[in-house]
Amino acid sequence: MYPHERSLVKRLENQPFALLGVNSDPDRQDLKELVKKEQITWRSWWDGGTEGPIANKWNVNVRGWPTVFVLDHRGVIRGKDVTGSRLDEFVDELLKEMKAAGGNN
Amino acid sequence: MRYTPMITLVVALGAACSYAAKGQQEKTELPFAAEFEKLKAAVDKLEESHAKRLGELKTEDQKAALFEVHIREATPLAEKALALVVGNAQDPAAVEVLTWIIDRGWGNWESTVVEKAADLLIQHHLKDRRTHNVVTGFAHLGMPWTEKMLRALVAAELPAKEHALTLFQLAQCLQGSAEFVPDSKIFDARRLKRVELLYGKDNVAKMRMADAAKLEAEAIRLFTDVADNYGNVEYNLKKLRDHAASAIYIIRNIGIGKTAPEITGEDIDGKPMKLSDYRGKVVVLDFWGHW
Repeated sequence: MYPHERSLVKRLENQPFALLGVNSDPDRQDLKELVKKEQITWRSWWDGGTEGPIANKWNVNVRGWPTVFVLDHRGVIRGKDVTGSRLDEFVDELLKEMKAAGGNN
Repeated sequence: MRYTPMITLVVALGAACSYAAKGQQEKTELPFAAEFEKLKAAVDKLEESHAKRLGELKTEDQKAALFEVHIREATPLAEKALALVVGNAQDPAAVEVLTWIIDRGWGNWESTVVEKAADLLIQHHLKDRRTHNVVTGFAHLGMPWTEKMLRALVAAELPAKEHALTLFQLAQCLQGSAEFVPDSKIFDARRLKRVELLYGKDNVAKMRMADAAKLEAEAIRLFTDVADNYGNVEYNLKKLRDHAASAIYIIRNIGIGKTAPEITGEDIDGKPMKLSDYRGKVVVLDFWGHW
């Protein structure tokens, strides 16, 4: 999981792209050590546990972990549970679509 | 001579006891128990060996191919289990086998076997607590057999609390079916194949064509009914009123084609963080945990 995310972030570092996490670990101190060890450079909200407010609002407590949503540059939800090489393709398609639309909004 | 009646009594009692024990044993032990245990063990073994092989595979195509092999090899085992009870499905002993076929079916065998087991439970054991229990974990996936079973359970008018849960789970099921329509539009070939193996090919074709707006409307109606009439019922540590309210919120706001609601909070280091700061960028929102 982390290696794929690291390579995605690296590959798109000069693109209008962001990987954002919502973390559900209960212990923040352990988490800080993990972030250092796994070289997790992208930001995450800390949701405090599996029944955290963000996960609840996004139905992840029902759908299960891990779950991925992909949003376009307008903030519209375009993808759900997109994983593996499909995630790379999917993000590339949205970036292309954004450029075709002439950038922001 | 004096002891004779005593001995007779002991012998008679002993015989009676052993007879009773035998009778009881025949009652509780399934006539096909040994065969069923063998099938269960064979499924466990197959799962274990495929899980081990999966760990050794590198590419996504190899993993997808192994998944297909697994379903192909595990399905006959479930069919054999079904054959054990199919002529005698009204027997309470059949429930254990039928619920096992459903409980272990996801990712193990073709959905047609699960559907047959579900039909037999609906037909003969609708009011058996285990029938309701086994569908619970599958409700949100919105598969046709879960909808059929939950509609039958709702119509069976179980005791009030259980009835409330069947209504709530039917609403969850319709919500899942509604989500499947846009979700399945972005599947690539590999994902489609995987979902077809999990849900059944015919089911996927049918589910993709469904009227999502109509399903959403019925789900909202049912969630509202649950909140209004059974709001105080406790389920998974919360009241059904709260579960229903968040489900309605999710139907309206969280889904493909909807604008993502704002997320505010703190990052791992305690710095404030909000989603709208990333507007103008393509965002992958990754719900993760190391636990």
